[in-house]
Amino acid sequence: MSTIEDRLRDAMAARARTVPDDGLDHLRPAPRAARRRGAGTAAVAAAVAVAATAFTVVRLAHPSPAPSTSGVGVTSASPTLQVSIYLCGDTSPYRGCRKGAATEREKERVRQVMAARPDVAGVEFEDRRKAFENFRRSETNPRLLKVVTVEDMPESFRVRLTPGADHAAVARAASRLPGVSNVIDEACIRDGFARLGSGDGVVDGCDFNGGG
Amino acid sequence: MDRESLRLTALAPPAPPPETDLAGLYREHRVGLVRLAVLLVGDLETAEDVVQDVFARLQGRRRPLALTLAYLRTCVLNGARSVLRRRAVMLRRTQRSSDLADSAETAALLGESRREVLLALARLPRRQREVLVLRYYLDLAESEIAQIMRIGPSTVRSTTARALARLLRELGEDA
Repeated sequence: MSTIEDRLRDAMAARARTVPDDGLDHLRPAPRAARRRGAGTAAVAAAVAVAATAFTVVRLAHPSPAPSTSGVGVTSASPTLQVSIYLCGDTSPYRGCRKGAATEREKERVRQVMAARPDVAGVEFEDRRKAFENFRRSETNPRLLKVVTVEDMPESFRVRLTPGADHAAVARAASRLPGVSNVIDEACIRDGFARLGSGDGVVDGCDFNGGG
Repeated sequence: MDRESLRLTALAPPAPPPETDLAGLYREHRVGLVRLAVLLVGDLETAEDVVQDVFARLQGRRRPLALTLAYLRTCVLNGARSVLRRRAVMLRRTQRSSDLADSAETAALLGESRREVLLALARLPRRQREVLVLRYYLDLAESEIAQIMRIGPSTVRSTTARALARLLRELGEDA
């Protein structure tokens, strides 16, 4: 089968291909004027802020707090990871979206149900434009960047959880609501990376499809 | 000799047309260098900054006698190193892990198997990662890698072997 060398070649080539030929050039000027000293620091700050990078996740990944324990000693640096609830659009291919785009009523219901949960600290709506901005910032595939428009982006709710909350339970509950296309549990993804680091398996089951 | 041409010179470069020369190099190699950098630092934005910095710096007074691709690659390697160092410091200070999580969009769009490999690569010690990138992404010969990294060919060989062994361990039997 494929050797480690082949896998490495393939993965690196694929990652490199995601760097567009010229697609992003207009975003930054050619290096005419020399940059001030310390520009590198700004670069790092920007990178850390955006940090849609698999690389950094690894450095930070640490075991998740035990799911069910009641608010005992908050795991010190426990980050507030979100559960992202994506809403059906006109063309969403998901099972839960057969009836078309989520209605205003359905959206409001998702917000209310989530906000009412004791394990939810906050619910924020992310509209298409914001989603598109995030996408432009984190996506590196030039072909995707070229064809995807604002209208292609899904609306979503970003749900912040209280420390110690059972992420999977929240995600599963959200996925059952009408108008929800799918739900992504970011903590699950992160913990998946942590497991990966300890040689214990891969990221799996972090995506809950709506309508089921 | 090769090494000779790579050395930084203390002398100012002969004045005539540095700008056009550099601009040409920029046009020709920028994307390739960004691709190299992205494998070293992990994200596009930082990678572009690293390369941008390299070219910005080259406009200053410190110039090698001959601007070669190998030299540019060395610069990118160095730039990536300092970015990673600073990033590590910053992370220790701020402890804000949530800011650094993969976005849901990215996670959903990336392929699992390749991401596994890239993650394992990112976890390697700096030098091991660099050797693998130069060897298996750029397909460079041992001697060229030695030149770019400024280490001996035998070190390249042993580092590569250690890096591959470690990757294998991290990725498990299925690799």
